[in-house]
Amino acid sequence: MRELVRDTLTLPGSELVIESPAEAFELFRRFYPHSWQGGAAGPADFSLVADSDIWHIRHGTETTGPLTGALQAAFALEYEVENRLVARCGDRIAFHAGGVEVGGRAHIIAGDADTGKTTSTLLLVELGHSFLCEEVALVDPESLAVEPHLRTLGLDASHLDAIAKDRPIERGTVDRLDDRLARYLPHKARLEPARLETIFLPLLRPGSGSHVAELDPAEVLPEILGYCFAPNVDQELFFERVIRLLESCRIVRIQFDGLATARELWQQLVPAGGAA
Amino acid sequence: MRYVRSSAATLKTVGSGVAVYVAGRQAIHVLNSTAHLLFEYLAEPASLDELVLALETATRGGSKKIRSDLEAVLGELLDHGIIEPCES
Repeated sequence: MRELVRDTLTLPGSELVIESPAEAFELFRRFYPHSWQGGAAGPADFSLVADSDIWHIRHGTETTGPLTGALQAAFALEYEVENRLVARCGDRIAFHAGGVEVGGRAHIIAGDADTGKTTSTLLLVELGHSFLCEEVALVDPESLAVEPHLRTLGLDASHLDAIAKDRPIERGTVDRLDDRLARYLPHKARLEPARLETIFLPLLRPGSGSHVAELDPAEVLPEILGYCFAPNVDQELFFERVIRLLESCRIVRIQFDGLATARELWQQLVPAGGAA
Repeated sequence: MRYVRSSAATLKTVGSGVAVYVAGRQAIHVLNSTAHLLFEYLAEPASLDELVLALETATRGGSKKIRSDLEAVLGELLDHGIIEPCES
């Protein structure tokens, strides 16, 4: 008989009751270290169920699975929860982005996979800035407030090893999930929304040197729309909101060719007092 | 053939540039300066010859180059539903 654990996960705009056997729950809990209430009332929004080593996720009348093992179940649950977060973001714009807070201002790092987005967030945290969000950045188009979404940073274990080899990791904890996958848990996090100041667009191009450029909204509108999750509002209204948002903040492309240049550029662009 | 701005297309300013939202397709396209100029001219129907003449006057460019550039831009605007052919 597996021990069942229940707790409430607080996400921007919603609270979700999660129920799971302890072995998967403890893995999943580590993905959102700042976001648990320590108890749950009412029915579960998401339940993990296990039969031997085969797992399923139940949410409402839907079932996801089969999933092999507690770790895969925890990842699949994370995916479902992130989808729920985006689906319930209301009027806010959901960017595929990480972010940090510096001096009360938010700097988000938007981009596709493998552009150096998560690495950049990690490096900025290691520079002493407060972690604000990972994977999903929810921005209010009126107030420009960026909601904290404190999910741990997911990286390949070998990549995290390379970062630690370049310079020891001091402002976060490395959580190795298995041989290939790891998470980085920042020690310092922003728990309140912060006003958006900059959208950084990282571009990792080994062998191509480093480059920084300030961009006009017209230059990057199609690209940035590609980093937005599908909106919950009328498409034209959504475009207008994204345009106004882009006109209200700085947009900066940062190209680097490796860890050392990335670290150097981030130090110049986002010093301790705020963005340069 | 004559062309005219699509009634589904709405011009929007974006920073120092402009974009057009096409309602039926729920898409938005950033326009370069030539496309923007064409969009403005095509508030009223015009033929390729008329557009070439108008742009030649506006830019004082060589008509041969303007014609081929315009044909390419018109093709893109048609593909995106920003302008459409018309009879008048």
